[in-house]
Amino acid sequence: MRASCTALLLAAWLGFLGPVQAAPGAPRAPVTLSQGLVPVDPAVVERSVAALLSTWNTPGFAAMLAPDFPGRERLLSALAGAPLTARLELAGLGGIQTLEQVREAGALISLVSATARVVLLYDDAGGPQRREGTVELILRVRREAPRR
Amino acid sequence: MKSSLTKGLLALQVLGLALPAPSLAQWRVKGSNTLRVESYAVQGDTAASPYGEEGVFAFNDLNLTVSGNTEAGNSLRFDFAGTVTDSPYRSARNGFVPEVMRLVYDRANGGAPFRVDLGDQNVALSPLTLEKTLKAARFTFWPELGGDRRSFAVNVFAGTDGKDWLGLDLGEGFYRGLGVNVRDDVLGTLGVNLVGYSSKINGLRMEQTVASVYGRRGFDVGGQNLALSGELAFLRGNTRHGGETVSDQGGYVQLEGASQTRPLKYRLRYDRYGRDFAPRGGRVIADSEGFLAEGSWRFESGAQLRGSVTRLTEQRSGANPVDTDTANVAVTTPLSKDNPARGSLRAEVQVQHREDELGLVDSDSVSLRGGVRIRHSNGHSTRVDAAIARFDDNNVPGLERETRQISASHTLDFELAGLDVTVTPGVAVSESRSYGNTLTVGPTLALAARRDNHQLSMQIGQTGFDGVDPASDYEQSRLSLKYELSRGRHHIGFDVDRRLREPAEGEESDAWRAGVYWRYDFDKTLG
Repeated sequence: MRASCTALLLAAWLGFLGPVQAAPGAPRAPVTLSQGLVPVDPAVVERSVAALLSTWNTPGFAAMLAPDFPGRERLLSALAGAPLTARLELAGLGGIQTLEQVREAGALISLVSATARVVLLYDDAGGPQRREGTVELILRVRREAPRR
Repeated sequence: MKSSLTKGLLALQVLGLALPAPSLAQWRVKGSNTLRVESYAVQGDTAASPYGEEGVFAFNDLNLTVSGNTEAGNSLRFDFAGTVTDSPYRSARNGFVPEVMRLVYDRANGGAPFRVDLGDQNVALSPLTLEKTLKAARFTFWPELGGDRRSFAVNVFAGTDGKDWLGLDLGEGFYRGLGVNVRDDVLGTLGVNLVGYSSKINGLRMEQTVASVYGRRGFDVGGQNLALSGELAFLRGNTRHGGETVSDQGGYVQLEGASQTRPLKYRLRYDRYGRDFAPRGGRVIADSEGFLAEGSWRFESGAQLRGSVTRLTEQRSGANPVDTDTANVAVTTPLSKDNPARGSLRAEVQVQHREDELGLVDSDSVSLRGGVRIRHSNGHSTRVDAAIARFDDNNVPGLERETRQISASHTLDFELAGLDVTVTPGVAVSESRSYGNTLTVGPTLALAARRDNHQLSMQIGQTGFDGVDPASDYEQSRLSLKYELSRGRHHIGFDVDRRLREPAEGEESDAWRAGVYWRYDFDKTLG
């Protein structure tokens, strides 16, 4: 349980966020983000969070983390000690906000924060266990531009 | 304190009203409103269900963005997300719950550009000082100094890391500070950050001041594009509420490189943080020392090979420091050089050794992870993921744990009677070997069908668990069904989720959730 909680806390603390490439402290360029930013559809965020949580403690979870995800090895090592049946489920999602957005060749990359109410389910010697909690997630959502 | 905060934040929002407003013709209102009613019911053993509360609950979510140009190049945006609810699954609070409020004004034309941010925002100065989402007021400006060869950016902010607008209390965590960043054609990037933090819980105070200097300079040597960067930070204050005032420091230095002639990238990094260097808003491990060496090579085929070696020493200044050595090698490759959509393969090996000074900790672990995605012709695609992890505690002979997991699925897309249909059968197997063996095996089946404005999806899963104690064995089945009808901006749907857990001994648990919803998307330009 401690390992799985550690993984959960690590996930919350680190956020599902790749490293910012800009030099530390560098404020964003003075572009008019307030007008050009396109908020990510909350339904897309909900599907993404549900997909992310459904892979937690499964072999597919590593693929959800970017290769340069900060603390990736630590998180995966902690998760390797989680009970086999431990699962994270999404109970509710709110506070969805598109924090930042950049345009790259052929894609729109958005940083989105969301607050998820999650349920941790696992089995131990005492039988089935349920723990509820709230985590703030930061997702990187990549939307490919339609190909012509 | 709460009332003063509420007044303060309201004042900030009112201050926003003092900013230039766009004319009515330039307003755009975009967002969605979702009304949802759902019912939770559990028969049998409620402790084994995923639902802690039974009953009928409702919520109404509103996501809203209002934006407009005050004049060419200058713009204003307001974001709001909130709910009205009585559902414990949606929010810890009942009633009206504002969750996100943010007002942004950008001025790019007419003098020095600046931005005003009020409300929820990501304040990322540096990992040694502050990287957090705050409810804050921030003023960022780019003074026009230094001509074409130099640019400046200045950040001034104050705010709290409280997550709840209604229960916000500045006394529980208030940050304020500034960051100055200079980009010079010759000197590179240089900057300073200064962050203050204060908090008071149960009468116990905690104060911190963190100051840092950082720099980054790129240069070419021997056909290599190199960049040297680093940050040095000083902290003075408390590391816990009611603790004594201490001072400490931390920092890192990093060298990144890329060959100008070969597809090679590499990075060396050294981190060292003092025992009391625990900045509240930072992302560092106090009392630690770390070293990282990593490199990657991209082949002409599109494949990439990455490798890294790290050493982390924790509790460095104590009597029993703990070392963690980790080596990692990973390869990813597209299955077709000319058509990346054909699929990909990835494999990763990680070896780790942990050991402390007194010999209380001495363990080894090895993990292998891999996966393949294949897009066949005629709408077929296959996905397989697998992982093996082995952990040995060298201090306790026989205390070994090995976990094996594999999941595989095959997807078929086809058209049937005007319906776009997707069928995905799969299977997942997990096995753990320690003092005894545990095994979970389960097939899954996902179906999705779409026609015009109709969407239907269904998932079925079955899991069998064989534990060390046969009395702990159980069978679990899951059924999820969802339907949505879209008409213009209106989306109406329902979903049902059922979990049935049948233990070898004891009472079964039959848990249901059913919901109906109506979502309305809006996007309107006024005037």
